[in-house]
Amino acid sequence: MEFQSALVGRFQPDYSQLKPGIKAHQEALVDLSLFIINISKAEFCFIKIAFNPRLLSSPTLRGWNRYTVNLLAELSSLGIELFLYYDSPLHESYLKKLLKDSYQVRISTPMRYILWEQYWLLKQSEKYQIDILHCPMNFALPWSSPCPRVLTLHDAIDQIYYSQNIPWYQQLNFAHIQNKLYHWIARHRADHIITVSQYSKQDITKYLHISEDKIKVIYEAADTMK
Amino acid sequence: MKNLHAVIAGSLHTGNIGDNTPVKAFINQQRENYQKLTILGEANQDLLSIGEWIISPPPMAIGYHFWHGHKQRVETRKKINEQMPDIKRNYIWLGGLLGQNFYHTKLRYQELRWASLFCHTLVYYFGDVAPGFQNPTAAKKLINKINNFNSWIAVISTEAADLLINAGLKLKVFIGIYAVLFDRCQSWGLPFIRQKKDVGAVAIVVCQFHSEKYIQIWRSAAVSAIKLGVQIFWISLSDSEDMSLCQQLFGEFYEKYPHHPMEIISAMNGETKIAEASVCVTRWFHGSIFSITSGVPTIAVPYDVKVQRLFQFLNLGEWIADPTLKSLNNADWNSI
Repeated sequence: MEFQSALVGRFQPDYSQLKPGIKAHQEALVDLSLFIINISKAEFCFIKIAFNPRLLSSPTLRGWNRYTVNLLAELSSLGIELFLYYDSPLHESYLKKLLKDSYQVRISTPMRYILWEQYWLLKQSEKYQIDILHCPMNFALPWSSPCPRVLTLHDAIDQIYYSQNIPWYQQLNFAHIQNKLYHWIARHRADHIITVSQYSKQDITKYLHISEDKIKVIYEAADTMK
Repeated sequence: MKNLHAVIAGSLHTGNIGDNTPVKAFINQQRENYQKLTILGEANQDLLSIGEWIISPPPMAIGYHFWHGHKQRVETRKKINEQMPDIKRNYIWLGGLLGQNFYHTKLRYQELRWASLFCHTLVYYFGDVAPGFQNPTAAKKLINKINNFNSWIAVISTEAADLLINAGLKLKVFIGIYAVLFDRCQSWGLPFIRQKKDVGAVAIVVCQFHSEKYIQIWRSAAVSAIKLGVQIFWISLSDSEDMSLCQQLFGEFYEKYPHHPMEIISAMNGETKIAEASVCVTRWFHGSIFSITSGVPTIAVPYDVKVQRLFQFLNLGEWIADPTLKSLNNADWNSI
């Protein structure tokens, strides 16, 4: 039936709905053009994250270095602008793993560590309008900053085990007190803490008295980088 | 030309000529808005003829195997980023959304999550939405993701727009017509008239997917063609999927009617041969589009709601051959 009708010319599409459809389509395309113009004008701010990558000045690849460099590499591949702040040059082998032009390394002039951490880092965050200041190695965050601070606190082993075995006269040592102070500032002034396991989270909550709400567990992944 | 980069995605990994057509339509309509285009698809002859950069789409992870294809996804993302660094990027989505196949919905969700890592906006370009999506969780996640993306959405029917809004979409949904149809209306004008000379043939566009349901229609069409004394074009629009079925049907009829003129047409020549036919029997949606716009009478198989919507839209409801309908089951096609 259909074949015969088709061949004798009964196949007649009705364009009465198509014509208003074309008009609606054209109007939609006008809106799309406006949308595209707005996009091209709009400022899409990619996140700027500043890091304190002090471990990356040594070429020896250890656990925390590996964590830091892989985290930086992944963030750079996500289009995040990275600012690496330190007081001495970072090793080339780590920088090679980051996408070209995805990061800026800012080296400070020589100064006392406390000044660098509490003053220089703060001023740099202000200057470059950093969105997040992250320290991936248990300490080294300033008391205050214009942006939120994130600390990766890998564990609380130092405070739970090693501190107990230090003799009293060493505990009164200035360097030891200073070190404890840096750690205390970092973990108590951080807006958010990342740790690597539920067990670490329990330790941090129990022994370091950090609020559970502030801690997020993000497990470490296998290192696929060669 | 704006300072923008478009990444075009759809079902472009199978080498289906029909699925490549919306890409061409999009490029015809929107090329001037973009500085560069990247197509996520299989680099076959048809896509290469467009002359834009083509890159294979990475596999998406579904279910618990979240690591599946991670490396390819990261590499593809890096390649795209490196191609046009420091430029705003649109992710152009072509094709269906919220399909009945829930893997499709999950895939689209994963794809959008991945795209959001390197694209600033999503443009869903005149796609269709099928009713009856089976996995509300996946659909909800997908819609939430679209809501949270900077998106521009346009679909081809009011039903599709309603389905999206009912599924929780909070953005404005534009309604237009199918991009390929629009493109041809603009280029060829209305009404659709014959683009090529009628060579006296029946074009049978076959499809391997669920072929057991529809094979009787193709056989009947071939028998009718033989009785009418016109040649048969066995057309495959996706060589990797449908060519074997073309060869099977060709062989079957060649044994019975060795002297009847028949040809197997590959995807590259599919559209041209459809335009030359006296009548076209097709299952693929794009086969219908090709033949209707070329002014060829078309009998379609409603394998998907979009075929029904298209034929109803053009008031061609009686030209749908549904093998599940009783009247057609009882019809003696061979007597035509």
